[in-house]
Parts: sequence; C-alpha cells; structure tokens
Amino acid sequence: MRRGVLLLALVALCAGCGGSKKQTFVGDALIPPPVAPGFTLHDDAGRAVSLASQRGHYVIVTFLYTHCQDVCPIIAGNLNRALKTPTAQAAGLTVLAVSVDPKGDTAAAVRTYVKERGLVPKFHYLIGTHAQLAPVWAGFHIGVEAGVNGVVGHSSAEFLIDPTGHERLLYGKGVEPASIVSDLKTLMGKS
Amino acid sequence: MADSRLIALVAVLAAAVAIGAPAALADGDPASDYLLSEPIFLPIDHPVSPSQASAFQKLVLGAEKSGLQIKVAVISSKYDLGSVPILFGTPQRYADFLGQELFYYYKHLILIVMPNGYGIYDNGKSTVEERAVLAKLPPAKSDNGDVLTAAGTRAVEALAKRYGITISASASSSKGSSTNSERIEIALAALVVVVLTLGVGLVRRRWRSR
Repeated sequence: MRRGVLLLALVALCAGCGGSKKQTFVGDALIPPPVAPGFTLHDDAGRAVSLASQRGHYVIVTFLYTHCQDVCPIIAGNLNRALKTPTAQAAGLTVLAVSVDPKGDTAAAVRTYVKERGLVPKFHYLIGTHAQLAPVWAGFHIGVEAGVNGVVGHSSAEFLIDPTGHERLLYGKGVEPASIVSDLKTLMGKS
Repeated sequence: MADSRLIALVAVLAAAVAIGAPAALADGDPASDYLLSEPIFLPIDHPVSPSQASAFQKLVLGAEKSGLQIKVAVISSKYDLGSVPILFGTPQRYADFLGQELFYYYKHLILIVMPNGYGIYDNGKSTVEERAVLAKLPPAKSDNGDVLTAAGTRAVEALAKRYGITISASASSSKGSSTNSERIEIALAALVVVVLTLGVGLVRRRWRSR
C-alpha cells in the first residue's frame, strides 16, 4: 500500500513537472502585457485611423519611413505577406505603420510607396507632423533620430496587439510572416 | 581598415546573436544589439586592450553582483554608432536613444561613455542625481579605447559610490554563476532525478519479487 502511494506521488510529481501548459511564442512576450498607447493619425488619403478603432482585432504597430534603404522595406514586405495569410485574415489582422520621418513621408511619397510595394488595404501607412508623431514614438519607446541626407535612425520594432488593446508580442527587424502566423494561432488557441 | 572594421562589426553582431539575444533587435547601432545580452559594449573603431576589456567587464559584473545594475556602451567614434552617427558627441542624447531601444529588455541603468563626456538612462526614470555625479567627472578627451574605458571605470565607481555600493572584487567573476531562480530549478531537477531513480528501483524490486 505504501509503495502504491509512493508510486502515485512519483507520477503526480512527474505530471507536475511537465504538465504546465505554457504558451510559447516566436516573438518576445511582453509580461505583463501593457495597454498599447492610443493614437490617431492619418493615411495618405487624409483618412483618420486610430488604434482604438481596431479593438476586437489583432493589430501590428510598426515604425517605418519611405526613404529607408535599410530594414524598413524588408519589414514592410514581410508584414504585407503576413497580412495575406488565411490566419491573419481570420484574426482580422491590421498593420499600422507609423512614420518616423515627418519631413520625408509626405502623402505623395507614401502613396507611391504603397503602390510600388503592393501594400494591401489592411496595411495602413500613417503620417503626421513631428508634433503628432513624436508622442506615438515615445509611447512605444521608439528611438528616432533624423540624420543627414534623409537618413533616419530609428528602433526596429513590431508590436502585436491583441483584440483588447494590449501589447502581447514584440518582433524585430527579422520578423517573418510564418512567425506572425504561428503566434497568432497560439494566441487564438489554434496551435 | 574598412574591411577590418566590417569584420569587427560582423563579429560583434554574430556574438550578440550567438549568445542568445532576444528576437527583437534594434536598428543599426551595434551597441543596442550587443547590450541586449552583454554588460558592456566596447569601441569597434579604437579597440580596447584585452586586459583592460577584461578588467572593465569584471568591474561591471561585480557592480551588478554588488547591487548596481548597469550596462555600459563605450563609444569612440561615429562608426561605433552605426546608423545614428549624428549622435556622436552627444552622450546624453545617445543614452536616451539607446534606452528607448532597450526599454522592453533591460530595466536598469545604461551608461554611455564618449570622448567628450557621459550619458545615463534609467528606463524612463529621472537620472538627475546620476547626471550630477557624472558631471563632476573629467571627460576622457580621447578616442583611445583604453582611455575611454578608464573613464568608464571611473564613472561606474562614482555611480556605485553615489548608491553607497562597494563593488566587491570577489563578485566580479560572477558571470558564470547561477541566479537564485536557476539554483532552484537545478535543485528541483536534481530532486526529480532522485525521485525517479527511487521509483524505478522500487518498481524493479516489486517486479522481481513477483
């Protein structure tokens, strides 16, 4: 009888060791998830787009500029590819790309950028004045420094925000569509 | 020279990746990638002698062990700043920029050492007192890696003094030691192994006795 109890305890101990279901993500989980700072900016057509209006859906917020020759084109391309996946569409995923270059990112420059790169309608490239954009950068802790010859040094970050408006995951410049799809599935409990 | 710089930069970034930097990396300035997982970033352009680099790393790790959580970027030239060369000569602005980049990954002090002075960031908290401490220190006034690192040493020691912390020499070799949580995990793992061994022995004995 005592041996049986010991065996049972052993099984329970082993179950306890490996049994806790921990969500694992490709992106870096923000724990506890902070509430994403709200903002309203405009797209190249002058339409107001707010983060609050995306409640109920997953959103990725990122920071780009159209003249960027570095990582921005790769990030934009990968996020655009992610938006085209069935998982992203099921999640109602939207990308809000916030400009880090109030000077160079004119409505015309953004229109050309969106057209040339074939960005889908769910990819909103948002622009504004320095006074409008700077609080958004600060809210997401994005370092931005305008340099010479139109180069803007800035942090590369993509925040995956859940339908309740909380920042759940953080990706870097190497973000891949498959990573986003995998993490969305995990968040939606479909992994 | 350009080739050796490139090789050095690639080596720095490769090291940052190899030692398990988080997925989200910052953009362009090497220190932001490196400091994700390392306590110090030393100049690429004006290398620091191995003995001084080792001593500085030990000091910073010793400071951490003694209660002063700090990471240090020693910047000798625009080249060390990658995509934000405009911030060379403005250590406080670079401290603020770097601090934003590391915001989600590191919650303590970040010290910048440049030839013309120091910058400090503390995860968005006020650093008025720390700045006052650093303002009293003489700047390195040199782009020599060893001279800059010596200035970094003085700054770390001054900040430790400001917090009433004595940096323990014995604590300085702490990089390979485990944290409390790691020790608990190791102890639990050992316990599981012992219990499993006992359990297997018990089952065997019971099996044989049949």
